[in-house]
Amino acid sequence: MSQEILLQVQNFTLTVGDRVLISNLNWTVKAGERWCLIGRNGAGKSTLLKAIAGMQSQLYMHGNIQWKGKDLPLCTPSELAKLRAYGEQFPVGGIGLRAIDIVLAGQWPWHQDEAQGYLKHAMSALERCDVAHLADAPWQSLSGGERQRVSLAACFAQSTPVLILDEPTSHLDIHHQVTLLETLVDASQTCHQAVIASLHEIGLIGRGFTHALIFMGDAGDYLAGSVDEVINPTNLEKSLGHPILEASTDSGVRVYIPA
Amino acid sequence: MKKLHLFLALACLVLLSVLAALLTGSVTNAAPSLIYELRLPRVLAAFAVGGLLAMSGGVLQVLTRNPLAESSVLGVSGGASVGALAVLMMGGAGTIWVAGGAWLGAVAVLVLLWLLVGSYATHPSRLLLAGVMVATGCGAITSLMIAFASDMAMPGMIHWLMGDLDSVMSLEAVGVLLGIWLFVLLVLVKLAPQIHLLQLGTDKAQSLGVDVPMIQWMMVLLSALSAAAAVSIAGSIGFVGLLVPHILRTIVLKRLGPDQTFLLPAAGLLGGAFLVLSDMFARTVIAPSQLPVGVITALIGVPSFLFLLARLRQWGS
Repeated sequence: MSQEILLQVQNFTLTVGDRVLISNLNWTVKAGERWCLIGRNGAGKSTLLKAIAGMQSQLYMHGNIQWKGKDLPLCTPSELAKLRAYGEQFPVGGIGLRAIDIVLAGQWPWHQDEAQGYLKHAMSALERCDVAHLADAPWQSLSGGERQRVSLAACFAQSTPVLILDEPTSHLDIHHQVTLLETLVDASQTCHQAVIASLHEIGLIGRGFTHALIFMGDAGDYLAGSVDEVINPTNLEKSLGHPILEASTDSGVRVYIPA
Repeated sequence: MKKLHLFLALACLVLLSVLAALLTGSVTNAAPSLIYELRLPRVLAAFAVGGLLAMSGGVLQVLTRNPLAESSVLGVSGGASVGALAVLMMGGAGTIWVAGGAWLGAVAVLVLLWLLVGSYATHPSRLLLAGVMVATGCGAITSLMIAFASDMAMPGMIHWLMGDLDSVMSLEAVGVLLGIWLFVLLVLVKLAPQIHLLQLGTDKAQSLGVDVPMIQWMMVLLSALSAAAAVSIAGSIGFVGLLVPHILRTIVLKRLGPDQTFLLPAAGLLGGAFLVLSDMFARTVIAPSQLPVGVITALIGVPSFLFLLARLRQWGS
């Protein structure tokens, strides 16, 4: 089965100051794949996500990024907005914004007017993230996890082939971490959406992701491939700097925990 | 269409306030020529100045992500004051040079901010800090100028500082002012959807396809243009830019959210009506003498703002 290639990164090197975050990255993301980015704090996960999303200045990188075969610098902001949604690590809200406003704004790239479907689409996105009951709640009154789920709902509402999520699970309780992953799995299986997310909860890798990109240490080395190929206790320990144990659930899902 | 109804209601309010202001004055049953030659320019100028100040405040509140921002925060009002006072000090009272001096002062502040911050667009918080400092500096220079002013120039300078509209005489000046008002309003209507998205933060807005640096630039230029135009005609009138966007937000927040496609143009209308009515009070409350309109806006503005602040605590993040 040949899947559509959405994102292609070739000979890509990312540096901040004297530090090489990732060197000579070759990476292809196809429709329906779910990638997780694993690495320590400051390894460069967020910077890489911003770079492929086209939101990082071109100063510190060289190499080739192509979205659907088109070079990233040639893509206009509105073209990119229809290709990928970007979920921030720390979502920001303005004065008086409600949850529903954030999600409605996510549909802006498609320039839908206040047609009937517009509000309905936003509400169903909120429902998928289990925050429909908070639609009219002011942003300032939401907890960290609720903000995160509203922000994810906005990404879903943007209806793009690719979701780029910066630590989508970081503020969520365990129940919502698992439901979010199920939602992502569902989105990639039914709508062939690709997911690229940075992740610290290594226990979740087996539950929701098909591929992994692991930052290995300081020299800009990396491993990229399917979860079966690259995720094992040895690689995780080398990347994260802590011994890792592997376990299996009754249903056969592999789970990793810090030893 | 809720938005359309609200706009119609605002337009009616504007018409009513303009009519009321034209018919009210220290002279009852005034002759039509008096209304046309004296009151009309002043009422129209009050409308344009109020609208410009309110739009400038609304834009700056989004740009700086600070609900307390308004044109005086950028230091533009302060710069304009210094420019106008310099002219008044040199005995230029009553000439077009007062407006010209105010314009020069406002533009000088913009150039100074450009040199201090490098680029306004990428650092709204630095712009805010630099603006506050420049405004403080302008305040100090203003005090210094008053201390050194001659006895002849002093009353005029203080009167101008308090903000008033009685220097507005010619319909031409009012026409230019209304033209600027319309221009700013139309550009804001065009940019409002993108300005709305900027409320979600620069990163999110950029990911949604907004050309963030360009929009931020336009917002700086528009708010500066509005503030300079308003201040050069009417002196420093505070609280319109702060109060009007907040009133509008409290009215529509529950139903529309902070929808900038409504808030910004609506501020242009409500700000105008607000200043027209304030100026009407300023002219008539102790007739035949007049109060500076800036005093009225501050007297209305401070308590209502405190009231709004108490009601909407969640604004403070």
